[in-house]
Amino acid sequence: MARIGREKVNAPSPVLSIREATKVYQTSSGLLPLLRWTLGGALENSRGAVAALQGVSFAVAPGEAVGIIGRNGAGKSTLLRLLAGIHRPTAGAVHLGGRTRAVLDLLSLFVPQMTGRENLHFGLELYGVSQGDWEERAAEIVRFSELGEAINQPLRSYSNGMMLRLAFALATSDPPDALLLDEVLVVGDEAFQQKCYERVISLRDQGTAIVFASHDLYRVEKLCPRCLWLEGGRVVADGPSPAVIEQYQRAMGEDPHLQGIPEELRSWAYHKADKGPYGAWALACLDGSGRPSERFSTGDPLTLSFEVERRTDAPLLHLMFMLFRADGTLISQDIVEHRWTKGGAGERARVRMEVPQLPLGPGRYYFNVLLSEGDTVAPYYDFERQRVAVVIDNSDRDARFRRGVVWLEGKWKVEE
Amino acid sequence: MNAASWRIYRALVAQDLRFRVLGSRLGLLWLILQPLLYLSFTTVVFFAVLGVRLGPGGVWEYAMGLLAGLVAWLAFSEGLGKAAPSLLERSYLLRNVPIPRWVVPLVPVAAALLYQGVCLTGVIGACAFRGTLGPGFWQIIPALFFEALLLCGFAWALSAVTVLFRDAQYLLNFALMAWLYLTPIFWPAHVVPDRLAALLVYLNPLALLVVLFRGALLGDPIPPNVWTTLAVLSVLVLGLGYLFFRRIEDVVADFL
Repeated sequence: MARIGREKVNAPSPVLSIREATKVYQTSSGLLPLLRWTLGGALENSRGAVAALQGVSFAVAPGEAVGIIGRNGAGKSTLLRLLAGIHRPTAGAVHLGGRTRAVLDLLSLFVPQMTGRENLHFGLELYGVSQGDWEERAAEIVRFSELGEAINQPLRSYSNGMMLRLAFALATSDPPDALLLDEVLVVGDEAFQQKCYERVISLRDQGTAIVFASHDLYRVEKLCPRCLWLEGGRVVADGPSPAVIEQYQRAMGEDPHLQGIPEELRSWAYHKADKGPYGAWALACLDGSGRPSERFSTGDPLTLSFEVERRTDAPLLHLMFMLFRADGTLISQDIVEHRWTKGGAGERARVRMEVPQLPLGPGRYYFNVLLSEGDTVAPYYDFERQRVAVVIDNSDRDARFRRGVVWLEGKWKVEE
Repeated sequence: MNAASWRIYRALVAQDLRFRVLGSRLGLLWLILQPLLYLSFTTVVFFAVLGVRLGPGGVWEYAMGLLAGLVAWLAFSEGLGKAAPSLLERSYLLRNVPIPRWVVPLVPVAAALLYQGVCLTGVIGACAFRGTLGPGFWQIIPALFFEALLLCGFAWALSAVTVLFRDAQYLLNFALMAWLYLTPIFWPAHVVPDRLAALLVYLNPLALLVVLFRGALLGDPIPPNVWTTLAVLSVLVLGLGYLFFRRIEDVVADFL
């Protein structure tokens, strides 16, 4: 197990901690196993036993946010269930202190035949909220979840997204000591996810310990300074997120810089990493005044700018430009051709693409630039590990009514 | 039972009761109607078909004896029938919220006792109306107490077994029916040889309860050692049921 630069200076006492924990799931049911276990048969090596976690040690302190990454079946959910106190480890020790709230799967504590409000009251009662505070808390939860009148409908009429809204709002309505989140947040729409992450960050800053299991490595890195990588029920790495995530992606055969690029483009986009005819440098998005920026609003001017390093005397520059949304959807792609008029190997040129008014709706995007010498043979693109991320955020601008996928710029006329 | 467990238990019982009557026109009224309908129907059928032939005393006496016995069985059938699948039915909750698992099988027990309370009120009312309610009436309280202990112990054991051995649910349905007929409820204990009757009564907590219910409500004589046997049996069932549940619950959770 590799520990990457783990600091242990004045660590506050942990909210949740497990030591050398092993969790073995039994799979063969029936009367005989039942009898054997009742009479004290060993759990670890009985037939059909599956070890989901093996000797995992982990602790999270107040105000700390830890991401849990790893493949499907790596033990992420089992670890969360141990931390939530739902399962007990088969071996090892668990220390659980304070109030822990978990949003693990969507059904959590919900009875589909009852209305959202009845489920909500049941949840508040389970969480030990005194009855006098129910009205106030329920109102806050309904407000945050934006369920409106739907709160009085039976839960079976809810979509997954609505269930998530209720579950998340309920779990976070008062700052818990620890908040455990499994992959569920992805069923929310973009706007609600954003709202959830903002709340998680504010809870974290108020001292709630956060444990967040996810495949969305970008989110994990943004939210959690520390990250735990599980593989086959064991901890592979535990340390600062950027380092652990990069290590994880390399192990997955996935270059961190290729994130967001669809599978079918990768093989030929990323062929000759450092040996191509061109290199691209200093890729950036500039705002209206020419300063690099990550944050824009719909309708803002944007200039994509980078430098091309010419490594050969190739006469042609083929420039492929791609724009992806954070979920990997290709939004726009085009190829631009340029024939050099002077100079050769070793020289640099500045390239700019000016967008007078950004037509993109709110969200997170990546720009990619691929450079080639314009030959016709396939594996010639030299993807220079260059991409740049921008966030389109219309929340506090005149553009706040501009929503949707694209912004259609039209000329309006009212003829009276 | 600490305060948090008690709170969770209360919330679950309230939800269980609400859930049972959800969407029905008469709502909570069914809590009263259902057992009363069942008891009236059974009384009429057995009274019309068998009552005159089997009853040693009058028709009224037979009907009341039958009701007092059925009331005891009803709690077992209702409580244990629902307790057995209780962990499976709440698996969504148990997989997601760290509530003490052992409170879950006790939820249907509360509903069963409530059912029984409604029925008992009816039987007691009828007895009082006829003026046959004896001075030993108070004995119904300790009898119910021991019954509750028995139900809890059985509920723990059955709920855990059912998760690991799903066929248990079907076997249980048969067992509950067999139990009803093996217990002197429809037939008086004196129609079988004394030794067999003693075996059927003294090793059968349900039969002990029937004897006590009849003793308390109808003033029938209570044979010696019934109280002590019941006390020992119920504490034993409660203790063993609990120990078994706590021993196996972590494995049970794997199958939820």
